Amino acid sequence: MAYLFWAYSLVWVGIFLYLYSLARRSRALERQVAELVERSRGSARTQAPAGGRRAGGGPS
Amino acid sequence: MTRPLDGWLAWGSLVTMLLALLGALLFAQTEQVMGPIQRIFYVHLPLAWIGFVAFGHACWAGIQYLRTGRRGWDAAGASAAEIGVLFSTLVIVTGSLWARPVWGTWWTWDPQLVTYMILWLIYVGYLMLRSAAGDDPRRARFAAVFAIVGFVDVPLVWFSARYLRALSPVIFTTHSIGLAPSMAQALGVGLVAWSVFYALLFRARLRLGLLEMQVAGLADEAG
Repeated sequence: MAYLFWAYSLVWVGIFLYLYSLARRSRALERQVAELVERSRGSARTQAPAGGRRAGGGPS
Repeated sequence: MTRPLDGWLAWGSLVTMLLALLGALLFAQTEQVMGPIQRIFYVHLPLAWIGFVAFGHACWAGIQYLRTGRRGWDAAGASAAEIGVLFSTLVIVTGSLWARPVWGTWWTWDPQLVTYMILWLIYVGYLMLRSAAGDDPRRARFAAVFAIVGFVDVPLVWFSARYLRALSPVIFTTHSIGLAPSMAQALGVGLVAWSVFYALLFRARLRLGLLEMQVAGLADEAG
């Protein structure tokens, strides 16, 4: 009976470990997306004042 | 990919898994020679079968990638192979736990076991190749070829039990299923349960793979 118990238990431990690894990869991906969004916002902020100066009129 | 289908698959998987567990542990009659230990069979064989399906899926995705060059097929192949390796690892573990009390050993150099171990090593190699070779189209091409060539071992595993002097019993023949009705029913429910679970797992893993691909592309663009 012990072998039977271990066989079924290890199958589900294996499956749950795999699901946990997928969840971790998913969280890492979310972090990467957040970083990319932050980076794109940062670059948009640095571009905006330059555009503003151009719009406001440069030296004529 | 539609989310409602995932919901149906998740519920279907939960219900069929519970039925499979009840069928395997309570409904199926106890085998006369091996006793309760034979009940490992109801999880061992479905995992082996779905493992073959997963490797077949990876092979098919490899063929489609080489034909079309679409990255989605590469992600599909990687997803199927990864789940195939997980399932075949569990097949080896449950097989060992079954063999110990029945054959008196954890492992024996039986033709079916050896060909199965080679199959496992091929697809572990496939996953290592994918993780080591960077992220470029060459990697995807190598991986596709690897998945196609690796699948050649599946018929060898299948036929080794029939045509070589293997210890593993042959359950399915062209004429009949060598099982009592309650055992065959428990096995059938197990096969359905693990098939539904594979579909659910594959879709989740593929979605993750496609997202990883898109995020890597965006990160490259952003520098």
